[in-house]
Amino acid sequence: MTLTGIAARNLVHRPWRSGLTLMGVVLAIAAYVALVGLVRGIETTLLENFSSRNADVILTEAGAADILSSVVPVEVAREVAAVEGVAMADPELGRMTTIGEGTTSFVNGWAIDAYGWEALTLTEGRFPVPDDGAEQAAVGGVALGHRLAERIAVAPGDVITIFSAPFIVTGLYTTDSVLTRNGAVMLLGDMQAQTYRDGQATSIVARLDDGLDSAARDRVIDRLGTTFPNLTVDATEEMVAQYVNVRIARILSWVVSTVAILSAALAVLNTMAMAVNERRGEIAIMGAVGWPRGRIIRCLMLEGAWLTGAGSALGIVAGVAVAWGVARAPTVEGFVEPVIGPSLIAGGVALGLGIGLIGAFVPAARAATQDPAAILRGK
Amino acid sequence: MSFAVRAVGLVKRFPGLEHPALDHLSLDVRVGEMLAITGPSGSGKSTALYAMAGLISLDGGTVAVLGDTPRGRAGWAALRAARIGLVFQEDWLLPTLTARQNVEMPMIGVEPSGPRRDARAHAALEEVGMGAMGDRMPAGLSGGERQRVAIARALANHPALILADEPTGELDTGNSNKVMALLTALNRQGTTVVIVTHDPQVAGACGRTVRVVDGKLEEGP
Ligand SMILES: Nc1ncnc2c1ncn2[C@@H]1O[C@H](COP(=O)(O)OP(=O)(O)O)[C@@H](O)[C@H]1O
Ligand SMILES: [Mg+2]
Repeated sequence: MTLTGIAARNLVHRPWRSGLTLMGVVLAIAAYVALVGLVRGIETTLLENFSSRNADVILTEAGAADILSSVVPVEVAREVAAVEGVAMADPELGRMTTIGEGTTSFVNGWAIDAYGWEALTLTEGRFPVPDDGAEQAAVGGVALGHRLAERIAVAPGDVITIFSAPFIVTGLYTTDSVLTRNGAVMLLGDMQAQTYRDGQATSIVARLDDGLDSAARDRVIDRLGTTFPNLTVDATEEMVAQYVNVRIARILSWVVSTVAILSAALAVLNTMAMAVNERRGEIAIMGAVGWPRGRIIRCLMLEGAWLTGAGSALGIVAGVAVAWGVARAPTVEGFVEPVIGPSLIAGGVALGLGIGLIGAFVPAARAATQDPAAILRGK
Repeated sequence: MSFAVRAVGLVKRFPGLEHPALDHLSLDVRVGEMLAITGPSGSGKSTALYAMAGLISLDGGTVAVLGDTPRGRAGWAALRAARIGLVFQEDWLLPTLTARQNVEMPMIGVEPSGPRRDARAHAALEEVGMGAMGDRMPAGLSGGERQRVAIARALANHPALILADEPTGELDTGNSNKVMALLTALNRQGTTVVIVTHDPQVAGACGRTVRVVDGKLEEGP
Protein backbone atom coordinates (compact mmCIF):
# COMPACT_ATOMS: atom_id res chain seq x y z
CA MET A 1 0.00 0.00 0.00
CA THR A 2 1.41 3.35 -1.08
CA LEU A 3 0.38 7.00 -0.79
CA THR A 4 -0.84 6.87 -4.37
CA GLY A 5 -2.92 3.83 -3.50
CA ILE A 6 -4.46 5.55 -0.48
CA ALA A 7 -5.30 8.60 -2.60
CA ALA A 8 -6.89 6.45 -5.31
CA ARG A 9 -8.95 4.52 -2.74
CA ASN A 10 -10.25 7.71 -1.23
CA LEU A 11 -11.45 8.85 -4.64
CA VAL A 12 -13.07 5.51 -5.46
CA HIS A 13 -14.71 5.53 -2.03
CA ARG A 14 -16.79 8.56 -3.08
CA PRO A 15 -17.56 7.70 -6.70
CA TRP A 16 -20.22 10.34 -7.29
CA ARG A 17 -18.26 13.22 -5.97
CA SER A 18 -15.03 12.11 -7.64
CA GLY A 19 -16.86 11.39 -10.88
CA LEU A 20 -18.55 14.77 -11.01
CA THR A 21 -15.35 16.61 -10.22
CA LEU A 22 -13.58 14.57 -12.85
CA MET A 23 -16.27 15.60 -15.34
CA GLY A 24 -15.59 19.23 -14.48
CA VAL A 25 -11.91 18.79 -15.26
CA VAL A 26 -12.67 16.82 -18.44
CA LEU A 27 -15.04 19.54 -19.65
CA ALA A 28 -12.55 22.30 -18.95
CA ILE A 29 -9.65 20.62 -20.70
CA ALA A 30 -11.87 19.45 -23.56
CA ALA A 31 -13.23 22.97 -24.04
CA TYR A 32 -9.73 24.39 -24.07
CA VAL A 33 -8.36 21.83 -26.52
CA ALA A 34 -11.37 21.94 -28.84
CA LEU A 35 -11.81 25.71 -28.89
CA VAL A 36 -8.16 26.64 -29.23
CA GLY A 37 -7.64 23.81 -31.74
CA LEU A 38 -10.56 25.02 -33.85
CA VAL A 39 -9.46 28.64 -33.78
CA ARG A 40 -5.95 27.65 -34.76
CA GLY A 41 -7.60 25.57 -37.45
CA ILE A 42 -9.56 28.55 -38.74
CA GLU A 43 -6.37 30.61 -38.96
CA THR A 44 -4.48 27.81 -40.65
CA THR A 45 -7.31 27.16 -43.07
CA LEU A 46 -7.45 30.81 -44.11
CA LEU A 47 -3.70 31.03 -44.36
CA GLU A 48 -3.46 27.90 -46.47
CA ASN A 49 -6.12 29.26 -48.80
CA PHE A 50 -3.62 31.92 -49.83
CA SER A 51 -0.28 30.31 -49.12
CA SER A 52 -1.11 27.12 -51.05
CA ARG A 53 -1.05 29.23 -54.21
CA ASN A 54 1.90 31.38 -53.17
CA ALA A 55 -0.06 34.55 -52.53
CA ASP A 56 2.46 36.49 -50.45
CA VAL A 57 0.73 39.85 -50.24
CA ILE A 58 -2.96 40.74 -50.29
CA LEU A 59 -4.19 44.19 -51.27
CA THR A 60 -7.70 45.09 -50.18
CA GLU A 61 -9.85 48.18 -49.96
CA ALA A 62 -8.58 50.37 -47.11
CA GLY A 63 -10.99 50.22 -44.20
CA ALA A 64 -12.99 47.23 -45.41
CA ALA A 65 -14.12 45.11 -42.46
CA ASP A 66 -12.98 41.91 -44.10
CA ILE A 67 -11.69 40.65 -47.39
CA LEU A 68 -15.10 39.70 -48.75
CA SER A 69 -16.57 43.17 -48.29
CA SER A 70 -13.65 44.89 -50.02
CA VAL A 71 -13.94 46.34 -53.52
CA VAL A 72 -10.86 46.90 -55.68
CA PRO A 73 -10.87 47.85 -59.39
CA VAL A 74 -9.48 45.03 -61.54
CA GLU A 75 -7.03 47.34 -63.39
CA VAL A 76 -5.03 47.91 -60.19
CA ALA A 77 -3.57 44.40 -60.62
CA ARG A 78 -1.51 45.53 -63.59
CA GLU A 79 -0.11 48.51 -61.63
CA VAL A 80 0.70 46.25 -58.66
CA ALA A 81 2.56 43.82 -60.91
CA ALA A 82 4.69 46.72 -62.15
CA VAL A 83 6.04 47.53 -58.66
CA GLU A 84 9.61 46.47 -58.05
CA GLY A 85 9.82 43.17 -56.15
CA VAL A 86 6.38 41.97 -57.25
CA ALA A 87 6.56 38.96 -59.57
CA MET A 88 2.88 38.59 -60.38
CA ALA A 89 -0.42 40.14 -59.31
CA ASP A 90 -3.93 38.98 -60.11
CA PRO A 91 -7.36 40.31 -59.28
CA GLU A 92 -9.51 37.92 -57.27
CA LEU A 93 -13.24 38.07 -56.65
CA GLY A 94 -14.16 36.02 -53.58
CA ARG A 95 -17.57 35.20 -52.25
CA MET A 96 -19.20 32.85 -49.77
CA THR A 97 -22.24 31.24 -51.30
CA THR A 98 -24.39 28.15 -51.20
CA ILE A 99 -23.67 25.39 -53.66
CA GLY A 100 -26.04 22.48 -53.38
CA GLU A 101 -28.12 22.10 -50.23
CA GLY A 102 -26.77 23.40 -46.97
CA THR A 103 -23.16 23.66 -48.05
CA THR A 104 -21.69 27.11 -47.83
CA SER A 105 -18.58 27.34 -49.94
CA PHE A 106 -15.93 29.80 -50.90
CA VAL A 107 -16.08 30.64 -54.59
CA ASN A 108 -13.23 32.44 -56.34
CA GLY A 109 -13.25 34.21 -59.65
CA TRP A 110 -9.87 34.27 -61.41
CA ALA A 111 -8.65 35.56 -64.74
CA ILE A 112 -7.88 32.78 -67.20
CA ASP A 113 -4.14 33.46 -66.95
CA ALA A 114 -4.05 33.87 -63.12
CA TYR A 115 -1.14 32.13 -61.39
CA GLY A 116 -3.53 30.64 -58.84
CA TRP A 117 -4.58 27.88 -61.26
CA GLU A 118 -1.07 26.40 -61.02
CA ALA A 119 -1.68 25.44 -57.39
CA LEU A 120 -4.74 23.38 -58.30
CA THR A 121 -4.18 19.82 -59.49
CA LEU A 122 -6.90 18.52 -61.77
CA THR A 123 -8.24 15.11 -60.80
CA GLU A 124 -10.89 15.04 -63.52
CA GLY A 125 -11.87 17.16 -66.54
CA ARG A 126 -10.40 20.61 -67.16
CA PHE A 127 -10.50 24.16 -65.92
CA PRO A 128 -13.20 26.49 -67.26
CA VAL A 129 -12.68 28.52 -70.45
CA PRO A 130 -14.82 31.35 -71.90
CA ASP A 131 -18.19 30.33 -73.38
CA ASP A 132 -18.26 27.03 -71.48
CA GLY A 133 -21.59 25.28 -71.43
CA ALA A 134 -23.26 27.45 -74.03
CA GLU A 135 -25.02 24.41 -75.52
CA GLN A 136 -26.46 23.44 -72.09
CA ALA A 137 -27.68 27.01 -71.67
CA ALA A 138 -25.23 27.44 -68.78
CA VAL A 139 -23.78 30.88 -68.10
CA GLY A 140 -20.25 29.52 -67.71
CA GLY A 141 -17.97 26.79 -66.43
CA VAL A 142 -16.79 26.07 -62.93
CA ALA A 143 -14.11 23.82 -61.45
CA LEU A 144 -15.01 22.27 -58.09
CA GLY A 145 -12.80 21.13 -55.26
CA HIS A 146 -13.03 17.34 -55.22
CA ARG A 147 -14.25 17.31 -51.60
CA LEU A 148 -17.12 19.66 -52.44
CA ALA A 149 -17.99 17.56 -55.48
CA GLU A 150 -18.09 14.44 -53.28
CA ARG A 151 -20.27 16.12 -50.69
CA ILE A 152 -22.84 17.37 -53.19
CA ALA A 153 -22.42 14.33 -55.48
CA VAL A 154 -21.59 16.19 -58.65
CA ALA A 155 -19.36 15.12 -61.57
CA PRO A 156 -17.91 16.94 -64.58
CA GLY A 157 -20.59 17.59 -67.18
CA ASP A 158 -23.30 18.21 -64.53
CA VAL A 159 -24.98 21.58 -64.40
CA ILE A 160 -25.24 23.16 -60.95
CA THR A 161 -26.72 26.38 -59.64
CA ILE A 162 -24.39 29.06 -58.30
CA PHE A 163 -25.52 32.66 -57.74
CA SER A 164 -28.95 31.50 -58.96
CA ALA A 165 -27.48 30.78 -62.39
CA PRO A 166 -26.65 27.48 -64.14
CA PHE A 167 -22.94 26.60 -64.33
CA ILE A 168 -21.47 23.54 -65.98
CA VAL A 169 -18.89 21.61 -63.99
CA THR A 170 -15.82 21.38 -66.24
CA GLY A 171 -13.49 19.58 -63.85
CA LEU A 172 -12.48 18.67 -60.32
CA TYR A 173 -9.25 19.57 -58.59
CA THR A 174 -7.37 18.94 -55.40
CA THR A 175 -5.07 21.26 -53.45
CA ASP A 176 -3.38 21.69 -50.06
CA SER A 177 -6.01 24.10 -48.83
CA VAL A 178 -9.12 22.68 -47.11
CA LEU A 179 -11.08 25.78 -47.94
CA THR A 180 -10.23 25.52 -51.64
CA ARG A 181 -10.83 21.74 -51.72
CA ASN A 182 -14.31 22.50 -50.44
CA GLY A 183 -14.77 25.48 -52.75
CA ALA A 184 -15.07 26.32 -56.42
CA VAL A 185 -13.23 28.46 -58.97
CA MET A 186 -14.69 30.11 -62.05
CA LEU A 187 -13.56 32.72 -64.54
CA LEU A 188 -13.49 36.26 -63.17
CA GLY A 189 -15.65 37.60 -65.99
CA ASP A 190 -18.40 35.00 -65.46
CA MET A 191 -18.47 35.66 -61.74
CA GLN A 192 -18.54 39.43 -62.17
CA ALA A 193 -21.46 39.09 -64.59
CA GLN A 194 -23.47 36.86 -62.21
CA THR A 195 -22.78 38.95 -59.11
CA TYR A 196 -23.24 42.38 -60.74
CA ARG A 197 -19.66 43.39 -60.06
CA ASP A 198 -18.31 44.26 -63.49
CA GLY A 199 -14.76 45.50 -63.31
CA GLN A 200 -14.49 44.70 -59.59
CA ALA A 201 -12.41 42.36 -57.52
CA THR A 202 -12.34 41.85 -53.76
CA SER A 203 -8.56 41.75 -53.58
CA ILE A 204 -5.37 41.79 -55.55
CA VAL A 205 -3.21 38.80 -54.67
CA ALA A 206 0.46 39.38 -55.34
CA ARG A 207 3.34 36.98 -55.47
CA LEU A 208 6.72 38.48 -54.72
CA ASP A 209 10.03 37.80 -56.43
CA ASP A 210 11.67 34.54 -55.36
CA GLY A 211 14.52 34.62 -52.87
CA LEU A 212 13.60 37.81 -51.01
CA ASP A 213 14.57 37.82 -47.35
CA SER A 214 12.07 39.10 -44.83
CA ALA A 215 13.58 42.59 -44.76
CA ALA A 216 13.34 42.79 -48.53
CA ARG A 217 9.74 41.56 -48.42
CA ASP A 218 8.91 44.22 -45.85
CA ARG A 219 10.42 46.83 -48.16
CA VAL A 220 8.25 45.67 -51.05
CA ILE A 221 5.16 45.79 -48.81
CA ASP A 222 6.09 49.34 -47.74
CA ARG A 223 6.58 50.35 -51.35
CA LEU A 224 3.15 48.92 -52.24
CA GLY A 225 1.65 50.79 -49.31
CA THR A 226 2.98 54.14 -50.49
CA THR A 227 2.11 53.47 -54.12
CA PHE A 228 -1.51 52.53 -53.30
CA PRO A 229 -2.64 54.74 -50.41
CA ASN A 230 -6.29 53.68 -50.92
CA LEU A 231 -5.51 49.99 -50.36
CA THR A 232 -4.54 48.01 -47.31
CA VAL A 233 -1.40 46.00 -48.01
CA ASP A 234 -0.81 42.98 -45.80
CA ALA A 235 1.46 40.00 -45.81
CA THR A 236 -0.80 36.94 -45.99
CA GLU A 237 -0.04 35.76 -42.46
CA GLU A 238 -0.73 39.20 -41.10
CA MET A 239 -3.99 39.56 -42.93
CA VAL A 240 -5.18 36.25 -41.53
CA ALA A 241 -4.11 37.18 -38.01
CA GLN A 242 -5.86 40.55 -38.31
CA TYR A 243 -8.97 39.07 -39.83
CA VAL A 244 -11.72 40.33 -37.58
CA ASN A 245 -13.62 37.03 -37.41
CA VAL A 246 -10.43 35.22 -36.44
CA ARG A 247 -9.79 37.79 -33.75
CA ILE A 248 -13.29 37.41 -32.37
CA ALA A 249 -13.05 33.63 -32.47
CA ARG A 250 -9.71 33.75 -30.70
CA ILE A 251 -11.00 36.03 -27.95
CA LEU A 252 -14.14 33.93 -27.51
CA SER A 253 -12.14 30.73 -27.30
CA TRP A 254 -9.92 32.21 -24.61
CA VAL A 255 -12.82 33.59 -22.64
CA VAL A 256 -14.74 30.32 -22.74
CA SER A 257 -11.75 28.15 -21.91
CA THR A 258 -10.61 30.45 -19.11
CA VAL A 259 -14.06 30.34 -17.54
CA ALA A 260 -14.17 26.55 -17.92
CA ILE A 261 -10.72 26.14 -16.41
CA LEU A 262 -11.40 28.43 -13.48
CA SER A 263 -14.65 26.57 -12.77
CA ALA A 264 -12.79 23.28 -12.84
CA ALA A 265 -10.16 24.64 -10.45
CA LEU A 266 -12.97 25.72 -8.13
CA ALA A 267 -14.63 22.31 -8.45
CA VAL A 268 -11.40 20.56 -7.48
CA LEU A 269 -10.84 23.08 -4.69
CA ASN A 270 -14.36 22.49 -3.41
CA THR A 271 -14.04 18.71 -3.60
CA MET A 272 -10.70 18.71 -1.87
CA ALA A 273 -11.89 21.15 0.79
CA MET A 274 -14.89 18.89 1.47
CA ALA A 275 -12.73 15.79 1.47
CA VAL A 276 -10.26 17.37 3.86
CA ASN A 277 -13.00 18.66 6.11
CA GLU A 278 -14.69 15.27 6.29
CA ARG A 279 -11.46 13.50 6.97
CA ARG A 280 -10.09 15.66 9.76
CA GLY A 281 -9.88 12.55 11.93
CA GLU A 282 -8.01 10.57 9.28
CA ILE A 283 -5.59 13.41 8.72
CA ALA A 284 -5.07 13.75 12.46
CA ILE A 285 -4.32 10.04 12.81
CA MET A 286 -1.75 10.29 10.02
CA GLY A 287 0.00 12.90 12.13
CA ALA A 288 -0.42 10.83 15.29
CA VAL A 289 1.27 7.76 13.82
CA GLY A 290 4.24 9.93 12.93
CA TRP A 291 3.70 10.97 9.33
CA PRO A 292 5.62 14.16 8.63
CA ARG A 293 3.61 17.15 7.42
CA GLY A 294 5.00 16.88 3.91
CA ARG A 295 3.79 13.31 3.53
CA ILE A 296 0.28 14.22 4.66
CA ILE A 297 0.15 17.08 2.15
CA ARG A 298 1.50 14.81 -0.56
CA CYS A 299 -1.10 12.14 0.17
CA LEU A 300 -3.92 14.66 -0.12
CA MET A 301 -2.46 16.31 -3.19
CA LEU A 302 -2.16 12.97 -4.89
CA GLU A 303 -5.95 12.83 -4.84
CA GLY A 304 -6.03 16.11 -6.72
CA ALA A 305 -3.34 14.76 -9.03
CA TRP A 306 -5.38 11.63 -9.80
CA LEU A 307 -8.46 13.72 -10.53
CA THR A 308 -6.68 16.20 -12.74
CA GLY A 309 -4.36 13.66 -14.37
CA ALA A 310 -7.23 11.42 -15.42
CA GLY A 311 -9.32 14.50 -16.20
CA SER A 312 -6.66 15.98 -18.48
CA ALA A 313 -6.13 12.72 -20.34
CA LEU A 314 -9.86 12.21 -20.90
CA GLY A 315 -10.31 15.91 -21.60
CA ILE A 316 -7.69 15.93 -24.33
CA VAL A 317 -9.26 12.89 -25.99
CA ALA A 318 -12.73 14.44 -25.69
CA GLY A 319 -11.45 17.79 -26.96
CA VAL A 320 -9.90 16.21 -30.06
CA ALA A 321 -13.11 14.26 -30.69
CA VAL A 322 -15.31 17.34 -30.27
CA ALA A 323 -13.08 19.50 -32.49
CA TRP A 324 -13.16 16.95 -35.29
CA GLY A 325 -16.88 16.38 -34.77
CA VAL A 326 -17.49 20.09 -35.19
CA ALA A 327 -15.21 20.27 -38.22
CA ARG A 328 -17.13 17.41 -39.83
CA ALA A 329 -20.55 18.90 -39.18
CA PRO A 330 -22.19 19.63 -42.54
CA THR A 331 -22.60 23.34 -41.83
CA VAL A 332 -18.92 24.00 -41.22
CA GLU A 333 -17.21 21.23 -43.16
CA GLY A 334 -14.65 22.70 -45.46
CA PHE A 335 -14.02 25.83 -43.44
CA VAL A 336 -11.96 24.47 -40.66
CA GLU A 337 -9.83 21.53 -39.74
CA PRO A 338 -8.71 21.65 -36.12
CA VAL A 339 -5.00 22.10 -35.53
CA ILE A 340 -4.14 20.17 -32.36
CA GLY A 341 -0.40 19.80 -32.09
CA PRO A 342 1.98 18.85 -29.29
CA SER A 343 2.04 22.42 -27.96
CA LEU A 344 -1.73 22.47 -27.51
CA ILE A 345 -1.69 19.03 -25.84
CA ALA A 346 1.14 20.18 -23.57
CA GLY A 347 -0.93 23.26 -22.77
CA GLY A 348 -3.88 21.06 -21.83
CA VAL A 349 -1.72 18.91 -19.55
CA ALA A 350 -0.15 21.99 -17.96
CA LEU A 351 -3.57 23.51 -17.31
CA GLY A 352 -4.77 20.25 -15.79
CA LEU A 353 -1.78 20.17 -13.47
CA GLY A 354 -2.38 23.81 -12.61
CA ILE A 355 -6.00 23.04 -11.73
CA GLY A 356 -4.84 20.18 -9.51
CA LEU A 357 -2.13 22.21 -7.81
CA ILE A 358 -4.38 25.16 -7.05
CA GLY A 359 -7.36 23.02 -6.14
CA ALA A 360 -5.56 20.51 -3.95
CA PHE A 361 -2.69 22.38 -2.38
CA VAL A 362 -4.62 24.98 -0.44
CA PRO A 363 -6.91 22.53 1.40
CA ALA A 364 -4.11 20.01 1.89
CA ALA A 365 -1.74 22.55 3.39
CA ARG A 366 -4.45 23.88 5.67
CA ALA A 367 -5.38 20.37 6.79
CA ALA A 368 -1.80 19.49 7.65
CA THR A 369 -1.43 22.49 9.93
CA GLN A 370 -4.49 21.69 12.03
CA ASP A 371 -3.94 20.51 15.59
CA PRO A 372 -4.37 16.70 15.68
CA ALA A 373 -4.89 16.57 19.43
CA ALA A 374 -8.01 18.72 19.27
CA ILE A 375 -9.62 16.19 16.94
CA LEU A 376 -8.34 12.92 18.35
CA ARG A 377 -9.39 13.65 21.94
CA GLY A 378 -12.94 13.04 20.75
CA LYS A 379 -16.01 14.54 22.32
CA MET B 1 16.80 4.22 36.95
CA SER B 2 15.78 4.94 33.37
CA PHE B 3 12.63 6.80 32.47
CA ALA B 4 10.25 6.28 29.58
CA VAL B 5 8.78 9.74 30.18
CA ARG B 6 10.03 12.68 32.21
CA ALA B 7 7.58 15.57 32.17
CA VAL B 8 8.65 18.62 34.14
CA GLY B 9 6.52 21.69 34.91
CA LEU B 10 4.11 21.32 31.99
CA VAL B 11 1.91 24.33 31.37
CA LYS B 12 -0.80 24.45 28.71
CA ARG B 13 -3.35 27.20 28.29
CA PHE B 14 -6.19 27.02 25.80
CA PRO B 15 -7.66 30.24 24.47
CA GLY B 16 -10.90 31.11 26.22
CA LEU B 17 -10.13 28.89 29.19
CA GLU B 18 -9.85 30.66 32.55
CA HIS B 19 -7.58 28.09 34.22
CA PRO B 20 -4.68 26.40 32.44
CA ALA B 21 -5.42 22.83 31.29
CA LEU B 22 -1.97 21.88 32.61
CA ASP B 23 -0.69 23.86 35.57
CA HIS B 24 2.97 23.00 36.22
CA LEU B 25 2.35 19.28 35.99
CA SER B 26 5.35 17.01 36.51
CA LEU B 27 5.29 13.26 36.01
CA ASP B 28 7.87 10.52 35.59
CA VAL B 29 7.10 7.17 33.98
CA ARG B 30 9.67 4.45 34.48
CA VAL B 31 10.65 2.11 31.66
CA GLY B 32 8.58 -1.05 31.84
CA GLU B 33 5.89 0.52 33.98
CA MET B 34 2.13 0.28 33.45
CA LEU B 35 0.66 3.54 34.69
CA ALA B 36 -2.93 4.74 34.93
CA ILE B 37 -3.76 8.45 34.88
CA THR B 38 -7.13 9.13 36.44
CA GLY B 39 -9.00 12.22 37.55
CA PRO B 40 -12.21 14.12 36.99
CA SER B 41 -13.41 14.96 33.52
CA GLY B 42 -11.72 18.07 32.14
CA SER B 43 -8.87 17.88 34.65
CA GLY B 44 -6.21 17.73 31.93
CA LYS B 45 -5.49 13.98 31.66
CA SER B 46 -5.69 13.80 27.88
CA THR B 47 -3.79 17.03 27.48
CA ALA B 48 -0.99 15.62 29.64
CA LEU B 49 -0.91 12.41 27.60
CA TYR B 50 -0.78 14.31 24.28
CA ALA B 51 2.01 16.46 25.63
CA MET B 52 4.00 13.24 26.16
CA ALA B 53 3.50 12.45 22.45
CA GLY B 54 4.33 15.95 21.21
CA LEU B 55 0.83 16.32 19.79
CA ILE B 56 0.29 19.73 21.43
CA SER B 57 2.51 22.74 21.78
CA LEU B 58 3.25 23.59 25.41
CA ASP B 59 3.30 27.00 27.03
CA GLY B 60 5.91 25.82 29.50
CA GLY B 61 7.86 22.83 30.77
CA THR B 62 9.80 20.07 29.06
CA VAL B 63 9.07 16.50 28.05
CA ALA B 64 11.72 13.84 27.52
CA VAL B 65 10.61 10.55 25.99
CA LEU B 66 13.02 7.61 26.22
CA GLY B 67 15.86 10.06 26.78
CA ASP B 68 14.93 12.16 23.76
CA THR B 69 13.64 15.75 23.81
CA PRO B 70 12.57 16.45 20.24
CA ARG B 71 12.22 20.01 19.03
CA GLY B 72 9.56 20.98 16.53
CA ARG B 73 6.82 19.07 14.76
CA ALA B 74 9.13 17.07 12.53
CA GLY B 75 11.24 15.80 15.42
CA TRP B 76 8.18 14.69 17.36
CA ALA B 77 6.66 13.05 14.27
CA ALA B 78 9.83 11.02 13.76
CA LEU B 79 9.88 9.99 17.42
CA ARG B 80 6.22 8.92 17.32
CA ALA B 81 6.81 6.92 14.15
CA ALA B 82 9.78 5.11 15.66
CA ARG B 83 9.00 4.67 19.36
CA ILE B 84 5.51 5.73 20.46
CA GLY B 85 2.26 3.88 19.85
CA LEU B 86 -0.93 5.88 20.38
CA VAL B 87 -4.39 4.50 21.15
CA PHE B 88 -7.48 6.68 21.43
CA GLN B 89 -11.02 6.28 22.66
CA GLU B 90 -12.15 6.14 19.02
CA ASP B 91 -10.34 3.83 16.65
CA TRP B 92 -9.78 6.42 13.86
CA LEU B 93 -9.31 3.66 11.29
CA LEU B 94 -9.19 4.88 7.70
CA PRO B 95 -12.49 3.60 6.28
CA THR B 96 -11.11 3.11 2.77
CA LEU B 97 -8.33 0.77 3.86
CA THR B 98 -8.53 -2.84 5.02
CA ALA B 99 -7.58 -3.75 8.59
CA ARG B 100 -4.11 -4.81 7.44
CA GLN B 101 -3.58 -1.65 5.39
CA ASN B 102 -4.58 0.40 8.43
CA VAL B 103 -1.92 -1.41 10.43
CA GLU B 104 0.59 -0.75 7.64
CA MET B 105 -0.06 2.98 7.73
CA PRO B 106 2.58 3.85 10.34
CA MET B 107 5.09 1.69 8.44
CA ILE B 108 5.00 3.96 5.39
CA GLY B 109 8.37 5.67 5.37
CA VAL B 110 9.71 3.15 7.91
CA GLU B 111 9.45 -0.24 6.23
CA PRO B 112 9.26 -0.35 2.42
CA SER B 113 6.18 -2.09 1.07
CA GLY B 114 6.82 -5.73 0.33
CA PRO B 115 6.63 -9.14 1.96
CA ARG B 116 8.40 -7.95 5.11
CA ARG B 117 5.91 -5.20 5.70
CA ASP B 118 3.04 -7.61 5.01
CA ALA B 119 4.47 -10.08 7.52
CA ARG B 120 4.90 -7.42 10.17
CA ALA B 121 1.36 -6.14 9.68
CA HIS B 122 0.06 -9.67 9.89
CA ALA B 123 2.08 -10.35 13.05
CA ALA B 124 0.66 -7.21 14.70
CA LEU B 125 -2.87 -8.33 13.83
CA GLU B 126 -2.13 -11.81 15.23
CA GLU B 127 -0.94 -10.21 18.41
CA VAL B 128 -4.36 -8.61 18.97
CA GLY B 129 -6.19 -11.76 17.87
CA MET B 130 -7.27 -10.29 14.51
CA GLY B 131 -4.96 -12.33 12.26
CA ALA B 132 -7.86 -13.80 10.30
CA MET B 133 -9.53 -10.46 9.62
CA GLY B 134 -6.76 -8.54 7.87
CA ASP B 135 -8.68 -8.20 4.61
CA ARG B 136 -11.85 -6.89 6.25
CA MET B 137 -12.85 -3.27 5.85
CA PRO B 138 -13.37 -1.36 9.12
CA ALA B 139 -17.09 -1.03 8.40
CA GLY B 140 -17.36 -4.81 8.55
CA LEU B 141 -15.86 -5.07 12.04
CA SER B 142 -17.45 -4.69 15.48
CA GLY B 143 -16.42 -1.87 17.83
CA GLY B 144 -14.21 -4.18 19.85
CA GLU B 145 -12.55 -5.62 16.76
CA ARG B 146 -11.90 -2.15 15.40
CA GLN B 147 -10.25 -1.06 18.64
CA ARG B 148 -8.03 -4.15 18.50
CA VAL B 149 -7.00 -3.24 14.95
CA ALA B 150 -6.24 0.26 16.25
CA ILE B 151 -3.99 -1.30 18.90
CA ALA B 152 -2.29 -3.40 16.21
CA ARG B 153 -1.68 -0.14 14.33
CA ALA B 154 -0.07 1.30 17.47
CA LEU B 155 2.16 -1.80 17.64
CA ALA B 156 3.15 -1.66 13.98
CA ASN B 157 6.62 -0.20 14.52
CA HIS B 158 7.31 -2.05 17.81
CA PRO B 159 7.04 1.00 20.06
CA ALA B 160 8.80 1.15 23.41
CA LEU B 161 6.01 3.31 24.79
CA ILE B 162 2.25 3.02 24.39
CA LEU B 163 0.10 6.03 25.27
CA ALA B 164 -3.62 5.23 25.46
CA ASP B 165 -6.39 7.79 26.00
CA GLU B 166 -9.50 6.05 27.39
CA PRO B 167 -8.88 3.00 25.17
CA THR B 168 -11.89 1.16 26.64
CA GLY B 169 -14.15 4.21 26.82
CA GLU B 170 -16.44 3.06 24.03
CA LEU B 171 -16.32 -0.68 24.70
CA ASP B 172 -18.57 -3.07 26.66
CA THR B 173 -17.12 -5.02 29.57
CA GLY B 174 -16.16 -8.07 27.49
CA ASN B 175 -14.24 -6.08 24.88
CA SER B 176 -12.86 -3.80 27.55
CA ASN B 177 -11.37 -6.80 29.32
CA LYS B 178 -9.87 -8.10 26.08
CA VAL B 179 -8.20 -4.76 25.39
CA MET B 180 -6.83 -4.57 28.93
CA ALA B 181 -5.54 -8.15 28.69
CA LEU B 182 -3.72 -7.15 25.51
CA LEU B 183 -2.13 -4.04 27.01
CA THR B 184 -1.15 -6.01 30.11
CA ALA B 185 0.48 -8.69 27.97
CA LEU B 186 2.41 -6.07 26.01
CA ASN B 187 3.58 -4.50 29.25
CA ARG B 188 4.75 -7.90 30.46
CA GLN B 189 6.86 -8.18 27.30
CA GLY B 190 8.58 -4.94 28.29
CA THR B 191 6.55 -2.18 26.67
CA THR B 192 5.90 0.85 28.87
CA VAL B 193 2.16 1.59 28.94
CA VAL B 194 0.41 4.78 30.07
CA ILE B 195 -3.39 4.70 30.16
CA VAL B 196 -5.72 7.64 30.76
CA THR B 197 -8.97 6.30 32.23
CA HIS B 198 -11.76 7.06 34.58
CA ASP B 199 -12.69 3.39 34.92
CA PRO B 200 -11.48 2.11 38.33
CA GLN B 201 -11.32 -1.44 36.98
CA VAL B 202 -8.93 -0.36 34.22
CA ALA B 203 -6.86 1.63 36.69
CA GLY B 204 -6.83 -1.41 38.96
CA ALA B 205 -5.18 -3.48 36.24
CA CYS B 206 -2.27 -1.04 36.14
CA GLY B 207 0.79 -1.19 38.36
CA ARG B 208 0.52 2.42 39.50
CA THR B 209 -2.15 5.12 39.39
CA VAL B 210 -1.74 8.89 39.46
CA ARG B 211 -4.57 11.38 39.73
CA VAL B 212 -4.73 14.66 37.85
CA VAL B 213 -6.86 17.43 39.32
CA ASP B 214 -7.03 20.95 37.89
CA GLY B 215 -4.04 20.32 35.67
CA LYS B 216 -1.82 19.21 38.53
CA LEU B 217 -0.73 15.82 39.81
CA GLU B 218 -2.22 14.56 43.04
CA GLU B 219 -0.41 11.44 44.29
CA GLY B 220 -2.80 8.48 44.21
CA PRO B 221 -3.78 6.16 47.02
N1 LIG C 1 -8.09 21.87 21.82
C1 LIG C 1 -8.64 22.43 22.88
N2 LIG C 1 -9.17 23.67 22.78
C2 LIG C 1 -9.72 24.27 23.84
N3 LIG C 1 -9.82 23.71 25.05
C3 LIG C 1 -9.35 22.45 25.21
C4 LIG C 1 -8.74 21.76 24.13
N4 LIG C 1 -8.33 20.56 24.57
C5 LIG C 1 -8.68 20.50 25.89
N5 LIG C 1 -9.29 21.65 26.26
C6 LIG C 1 -9.75 21.97 27.63
O1 LIG C 1 -8.71 21.68 28.52
C7 LIG C 1 -9.21 21.10 29.68
C8 LIG C 1 -8.57 19.75 29.87
O2 LIG C 1 -9.00 18.89 28.84
P1 LIG C 1 -8.62 17.35 28.76
O3 LIG C 1 -7.16 17.22 28.92
O4 LIG C 1 -9.20 16.80 27.55
O5 LIG C 1 -9.39 16.77 30.02
P2 LIG C 1 -9.62 15.25 30.46
O6 LIG C 1 -8.97 14.39 29.46
O7 LIG C 1 -9.02 15.17 31.80
O8 LIG C 1 -11.10 15.08 30.49
C9 LIG C 1 -10.71 21.03 29.51
O9 LIG C 1 -11.29 22.16 30.15
C10 LIG C 1 -10.90 21.07 28.04
O10 LIG C 1 -12.15 21.67 27.73
MG1 LIG D 1 -9.87 13.07 28.01
